[in-house]
Amino acid sequence: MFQFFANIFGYLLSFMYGIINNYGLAIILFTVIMKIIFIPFSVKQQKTLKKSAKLQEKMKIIQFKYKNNPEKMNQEVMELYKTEKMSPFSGCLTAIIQIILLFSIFYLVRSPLTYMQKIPTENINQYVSQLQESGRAVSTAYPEIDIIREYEFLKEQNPDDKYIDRANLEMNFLGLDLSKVPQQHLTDITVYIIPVLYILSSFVSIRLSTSMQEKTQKEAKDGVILEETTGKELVPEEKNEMDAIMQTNKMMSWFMPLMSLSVAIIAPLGLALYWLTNNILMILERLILNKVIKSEEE
Amino acid sequence: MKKIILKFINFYQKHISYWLEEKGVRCKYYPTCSEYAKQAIEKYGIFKGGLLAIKRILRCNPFSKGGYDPLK
Repeated sequence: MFQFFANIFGYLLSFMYGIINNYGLAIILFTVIMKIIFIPFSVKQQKTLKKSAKLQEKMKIIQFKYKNNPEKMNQEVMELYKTEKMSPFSGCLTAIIQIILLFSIFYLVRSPLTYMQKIPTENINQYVSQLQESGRAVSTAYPEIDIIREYEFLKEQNPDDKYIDRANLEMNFLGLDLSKVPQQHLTDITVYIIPVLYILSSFVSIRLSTSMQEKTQKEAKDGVILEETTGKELVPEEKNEMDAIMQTNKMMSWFMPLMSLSVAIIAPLGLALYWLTNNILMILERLILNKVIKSEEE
Repeated sequence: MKKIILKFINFYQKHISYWLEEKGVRCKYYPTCSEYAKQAIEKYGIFKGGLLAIKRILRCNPFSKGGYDPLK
């Protein structure tokens, strides 16, 4: 399944590469086009995000209010879901599809010769064994990256092979070698540039979305509390308890960036470049969409 | 085995689900699919419970309405 999507993405990426002849630029262009295709989904998702933040707060208040009365709680929750309609694009199946796409991109940058350049597997295996016989290092995880690096040598070995020319990919992007895997070049400072930028952009993105969410959550919370407590004040203890419940899932968002960083270090830099571009585009998209949705609401 | 799966679901709820939510992907149902899966596996075991959980995730698609859907 990953291979299937990686193959499709490969066509798109190789089309881009055909136009600009640079792997890094092709990846950036590829990311931009993917984002443009998914803009209708993003608009919906941004709206869902706002709605679900509100829903979440109301839910917590219900859970708090009826914590001793599960039956009543379920009823209230059911009512809440009836009044708030969820976006047609969200859902757990969508989440699984997104994860599949994520892995497909990893497959694509790990094996650019198979998926992007469509070199048959037998040829790739042949190149690998030629490299091994000549005593050159071939990594088991990324043999295709080594083939790209040793293109000159392989061209000499297989002058009549029509596929070998496809392995001549321009991996240099602004002085960075995108075929490098940070883990294998730990002493080379330049390999850290893209992963570090990626992490920085992740932090900006997380801050942005939490601050947006906090805003909507605060609005929702204040609204509901006002509505619920007219006539009777919340006891300070209860208020504290409620705040504690609200705080719980704020801290957890650091796991995925950490995870992504470790993947970025063991994968070719092309993957990190894709993520970095994706993050930057996402931040821009968020800022723009937020403005647009806000002005729509007013 | 059952414990490992439940641990994994817990881990997902704690770390991954939050990240997905940030990307705008979120469960349409209450209880959420992961919560449902946890309850189902606890009550019916890995096979029947797992099957129920898979069915539920398939129901949680872009064309469904979502809503309140507790484990029976």
